[in-house]
Amino acid sequence: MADKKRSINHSRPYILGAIVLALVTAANMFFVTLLYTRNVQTSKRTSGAMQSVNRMNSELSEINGDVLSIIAGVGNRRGHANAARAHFINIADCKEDFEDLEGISDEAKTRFKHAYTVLEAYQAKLEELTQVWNAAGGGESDISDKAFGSSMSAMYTQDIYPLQVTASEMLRATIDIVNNDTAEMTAKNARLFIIIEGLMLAVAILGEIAVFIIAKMAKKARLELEEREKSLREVDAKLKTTRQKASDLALTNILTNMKNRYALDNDISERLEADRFNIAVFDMDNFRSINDTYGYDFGDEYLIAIADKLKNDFGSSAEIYNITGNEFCFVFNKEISENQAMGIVQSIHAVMSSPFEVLNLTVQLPASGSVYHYLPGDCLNVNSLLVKLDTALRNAKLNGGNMVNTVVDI
Amino acid sequence: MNKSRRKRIISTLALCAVSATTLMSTGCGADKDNDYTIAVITKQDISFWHSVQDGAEKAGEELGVKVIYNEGADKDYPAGDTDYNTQKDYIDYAIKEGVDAIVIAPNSLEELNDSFAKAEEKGIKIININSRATYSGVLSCISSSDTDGGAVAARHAADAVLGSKKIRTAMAQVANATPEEGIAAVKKLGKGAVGLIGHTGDTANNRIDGFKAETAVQIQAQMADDGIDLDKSGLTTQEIAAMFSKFFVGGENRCGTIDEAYDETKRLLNESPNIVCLFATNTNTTLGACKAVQELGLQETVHIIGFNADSAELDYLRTGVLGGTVVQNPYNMGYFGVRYALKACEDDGIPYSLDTGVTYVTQKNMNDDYIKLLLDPENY
Repeated sequence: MADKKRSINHSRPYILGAIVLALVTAANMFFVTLLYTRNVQTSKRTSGAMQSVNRMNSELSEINGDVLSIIAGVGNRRGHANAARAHFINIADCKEDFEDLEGISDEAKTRFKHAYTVLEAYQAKLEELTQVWNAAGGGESDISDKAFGSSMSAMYTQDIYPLQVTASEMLRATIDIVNNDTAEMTAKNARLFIIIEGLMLAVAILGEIAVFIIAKMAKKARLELEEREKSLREVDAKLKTTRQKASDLALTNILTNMKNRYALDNDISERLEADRFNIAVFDMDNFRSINDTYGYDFGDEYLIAIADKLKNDFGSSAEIYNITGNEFCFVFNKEISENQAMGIVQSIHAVMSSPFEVLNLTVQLPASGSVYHYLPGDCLNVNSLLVKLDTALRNAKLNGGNMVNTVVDI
Repeated sequence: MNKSRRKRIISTLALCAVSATTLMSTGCGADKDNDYTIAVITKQDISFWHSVQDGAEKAGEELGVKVIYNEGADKDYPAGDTDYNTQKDYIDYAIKEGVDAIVIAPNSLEELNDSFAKAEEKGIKIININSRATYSGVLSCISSSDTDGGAVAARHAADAVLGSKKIRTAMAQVANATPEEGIAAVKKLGKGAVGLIGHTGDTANNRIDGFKAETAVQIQAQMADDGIDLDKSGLTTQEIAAMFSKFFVGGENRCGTIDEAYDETKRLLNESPNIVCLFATNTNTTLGACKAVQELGLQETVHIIGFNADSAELDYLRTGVLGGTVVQNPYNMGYFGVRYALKACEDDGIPYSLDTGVTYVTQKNMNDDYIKLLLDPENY
């Protein structure tokens, strides 16, 4: 579970990187589509405007051709007049087409409006021409035809032609404005495209750099964490050792390095109810005289010497406890019988009462002891057991010491 | 990598990315603005040339061209329509500034040719407006025909001339007389009926010539309708021309200012009581003529045909002092002047000339759409 969580943590920067890339790609697609749509609209608008205006100009040229034919008397004048009218209808259609286009700039609209106003003036002049023609007899006689031709020629040069060329130039100017607008819009779109792509690229690069750095930082943090965990484990192990040592110290006599009174309590409390065993306590008679004579350091050394000797000689037969100052308790092994225990007790007494070399001095004190062949349920607790043993020991000392008493059931 | 170094690297990378983006964005794509500069040079400080300036600047704005207007002399405008020296200063300045084209309404047909040659040597394109100088390097001229302007004025003046009671009476006598008597009557017909108030510019001659020629055509047509065929009268061409020339008085004293035109008009009206029509050839002469006629209270009997559409002229038109005025299209001259100049700079073909036309504006038609466009294109 922890490994899985750690694995997720490790891959988080890469997931983030993937998300950044996906977002950049999505945004990119959105903007590219948007720009494409705008370009298509611009292109459509431009081609629509150019188509309308170019057609108007072309129709205008056709009208001019008809007018010149009428003046020159080439072909059927009425036919040309009707054709010119049809061209004006086409021009009106083109005008509507142009006006229906969306997104045409105000400049282009104004220029177109000017062009169309000139066109209308041109049309009005041609209507005046028709009136002149009708007044001249509608081309029914040579005389009126000649008069008409003369009037028309002057009108064409002075009024009609300038209007026609002005309208035509205005229409061309409209196309130029639309083209300029288109170029401007295309350039704007191109700039926008480059800015967006640049930003996308920058975001992607920065995102990837951020992911790289985050990954690196995460790796470093992970290593630091592992290092810390390792340290913690070591500290924990040390703590355990220390705790064990403290625990051991609580159950050990610091001077003799033997188990103490609490250890005894721990070891045999549970055995009191059901076990049968042999137990003995010993202490030196009048040990206080050693302390008083040689000092406590000497007395401590003496006790160490006794303890070492007892551990060495009887450690295999019994568990030995230094329960108070110079008092030792022996809990004999299960396999040791009462008789054997009694024999060992005598040996203990002999050893403890023997001379010891302590700090280059030979000292010897008599020892007294008590032994108890414990039967299951004799005592409720270790305290009462020790009271029994101490009572027997005290009796031995009261009787002169240097002896071993047996605890009898009282 | 310590924290500050990492921060610095990221900042640098971000800056690089943004800089690259900015560079790419500023360096790419076509733009409306181009690097062309066009000098526009006009004549004196009157509304006609202001309108040319408006049109030129509008074209500059639409085409993304820088337009400089009458720059480089101690005067904002030439002193009059013969002050070519100021225009020479403008041209010198334009050459110094390294313009790409000069659009100019020349104040002389000949005197500016040296300046044009200097400009052309520098690769500067030359476009004329209003009138064409004799210099061969002029690529195009955007103008209205002065002769046609005079003719259009004459067509409308003919109505005033032929429609007047005095002339009609004489015409009736001609119609009822024998051919010989008719011819004799024609010789007296309308003597001094039309007064001419010409301005000092070169354009005045053509306008007056056009006016005279068309007046003759119109009267001949009317006479033909009345059954008098001058071709069969036995008169020589010179005699016919001399006969028609009697219709006109004035035109010899050219007027540069309104006051001069005012004085000339008063003189003509005083010396020629037969005048039923006055033809003034530009703004100042029109205003001078109107001022004089109004002062003398003759607006009911003397029909004034003016030229151009200054706001003061339009006021006279509204009050009926001015019968009609021949309006050119100065705005389009400026507009197409710059447009053609740019095309010339870009080596696109341009026509040798463009006739922007003239329009006869009266009290009756001055609210028509086209006339409104003509008179106030900026606000149409």
